[in-house]
Amino acid sequence: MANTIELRGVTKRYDEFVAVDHLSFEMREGSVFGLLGPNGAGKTSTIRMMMGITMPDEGEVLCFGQPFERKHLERIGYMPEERGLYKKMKIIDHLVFLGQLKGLSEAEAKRRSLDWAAKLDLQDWTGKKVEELSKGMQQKIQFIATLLHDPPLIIMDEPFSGLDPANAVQLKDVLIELKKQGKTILFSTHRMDTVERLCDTICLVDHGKVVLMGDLKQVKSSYGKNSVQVEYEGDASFLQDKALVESYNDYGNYVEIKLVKGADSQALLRSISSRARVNKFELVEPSLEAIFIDVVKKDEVSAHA
Amino acid sequence: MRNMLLIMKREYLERVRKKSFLIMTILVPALMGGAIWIPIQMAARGSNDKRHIAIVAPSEELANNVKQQLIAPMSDDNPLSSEKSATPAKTKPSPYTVDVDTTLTDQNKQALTAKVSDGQLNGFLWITPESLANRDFNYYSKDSTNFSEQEILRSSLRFSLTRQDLAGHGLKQEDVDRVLKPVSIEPKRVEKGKESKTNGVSLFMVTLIMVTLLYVTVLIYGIAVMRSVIEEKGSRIMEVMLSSVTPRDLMAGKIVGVGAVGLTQIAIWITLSVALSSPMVVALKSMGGMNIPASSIVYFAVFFLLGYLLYSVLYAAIGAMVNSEQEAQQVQFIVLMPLIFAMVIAGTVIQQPSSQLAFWTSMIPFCAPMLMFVRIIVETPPWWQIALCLALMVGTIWGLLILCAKIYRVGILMYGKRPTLPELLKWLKYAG
Repeated sequence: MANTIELRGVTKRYDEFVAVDHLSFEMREGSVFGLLGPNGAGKTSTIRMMMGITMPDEGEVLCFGQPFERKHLERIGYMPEERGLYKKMKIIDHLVFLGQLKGLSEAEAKRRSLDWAAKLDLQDWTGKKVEELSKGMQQKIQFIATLLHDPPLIIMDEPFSGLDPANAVQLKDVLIELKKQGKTILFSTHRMDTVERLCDTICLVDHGKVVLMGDLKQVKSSYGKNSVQVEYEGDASFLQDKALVESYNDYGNYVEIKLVKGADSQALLRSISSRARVNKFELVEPSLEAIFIDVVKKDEVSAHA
Repeated sequence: MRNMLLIMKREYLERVRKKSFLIMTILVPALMGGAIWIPIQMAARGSNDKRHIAIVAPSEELANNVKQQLIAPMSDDNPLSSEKSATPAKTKPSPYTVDVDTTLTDQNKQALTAKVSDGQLNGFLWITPESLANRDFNYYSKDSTNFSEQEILRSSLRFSLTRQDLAGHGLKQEDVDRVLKPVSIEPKRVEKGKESKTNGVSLFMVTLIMVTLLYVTVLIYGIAVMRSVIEEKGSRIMEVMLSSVTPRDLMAGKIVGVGAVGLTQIAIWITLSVALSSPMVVALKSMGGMNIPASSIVYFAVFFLLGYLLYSVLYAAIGAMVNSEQEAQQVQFIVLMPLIFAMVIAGTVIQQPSSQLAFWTSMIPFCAPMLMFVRIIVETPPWWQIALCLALMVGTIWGLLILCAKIYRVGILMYGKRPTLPELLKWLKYAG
């Protein structure tokens, strides 16, 4: 029985609004799967159907190779985007309570909670009430609660939102460790940069439909190295050169430029250096974000056509 | 089942450990006892306040007669004593000091009015020959709302006039006394074919206290369920919980857990009152003839449980529908109405427990916890009525449970605008 989830033609409608539109994908066991898309693309609706919180109107969700059953939930660790804790409860009581709901004994839940708290530098806080903790700490508690029952399948909806970089790195390290242990992980986020280094497979959704799916490396290489990152000072008019530049993203410190197909990158370099001072010029694979914007734009054009 | 018990345990422990639980447990009976005991004490003390009044009449005999009535010591046999006195044999000295006067001049009236307004006199009774003919008198005082004093004056005056009349018709003094000897009726309650010792007034008070307690506890714990749901929505823990438990377990665990807290509190109250340390019981004792049969405590627990279940299910659904307590205020009025209606009508039902009104209103499941309870305490209706009432309640609770569980299931994940009625119906369809 594979520790994965498979979706087959899953559709969810709210009145006239189609939140998820015949979505199908399969997670590979032991992989990190990124479910990406802009706000309102249907990511959370999809995950809620995986967790049996809502039922699909059409299609089916297969958990561990079987149609969804509630007992599967004991083997899934889910951190929803809408997350919270009982504010008046003590941290340790809260963790034990959530652990027990996942089928752990009280003693076992307590032992694991204390181990995790030590691992995430929270050992001094376990006797405090939830409301005394900072938001970031509360999120770490949430993170622990998700993993307390050692699930083979982990689903996290926007796991890093609201975390400072140090805490985000700490949690990311834990996830990489879990991946090495062979766990299957599904991420959902609209922030591409946070998952780029973690995901093996990505699935880009927009308006409830898959717009791009596949192995992250393949997806990137299929777009080829036709992007250039440039750091420059001075005249920016070269960006308007339609013969060379198909599109560009201005990140402030640098610009990422997508070249027109078949255009010579050296011609662009010459064009820039003739007008501005070039500090850095690098041929790169497009960032996920650039691909995403590109795909979504095309999608919109075809949707309006 | 395991999950439901875990949720129940959490709800229960979190609540019982709170300071507010302890405070409520002590404060509610203290307040209720106080609310009843203090006015009784005040009323008792109030009648001891010295009252200084003047009687101005055309004849000194009449004025003196009224004065005699007013200054006589008060006892139950005396028509002047207040009817509600629960201490029969005790007599108290009259609070009245009475001046007698026969000067029926405008000047005197002005002088007396001045005395009343600067507080030397509490009031004066102005008896003119015309008013004697019409039997319509004026009493001048600052507090025209002191109805008990007006009643005392009225009956003293009437008594004196009758006495004078009878004497005028040639009756001897002892015959007059015999004719005017007051009568009293002591109610004896028949319970299960036997005469019960319970005194009517104290039964009335006990019933009223218990019904109020029932109302307060059902309301407090119903609202506790609603607040707990709103809090869960507000803290966004709902979805975390739903990844482990079903909405049904969550709702059931919460309702049972909070209900158990309510039962614990009632159990503490009963233990306290058995230990006689509760101020409520002390207050009741002071009224005399206090006697709560064990069966009414059992009925109290039963009607608390049923009433609580009925209302907490509704409150859980409201909690799921709204996003904040402010929003809940508007909706919960609908739920409150039958409760308030029952409380308003409870007084009538206590006095006429076997009337048509009492029967029909006690069959409405939303009012039954209070009204059927009243009827059982006061008159014990036929068993089939109690059975029918309980069956109706259980049936209603069952129906509401199914309906509200659906609203709950959809509502707990909905944030934003409060649903309108058509939207609610749509929710029921989603939950299918």
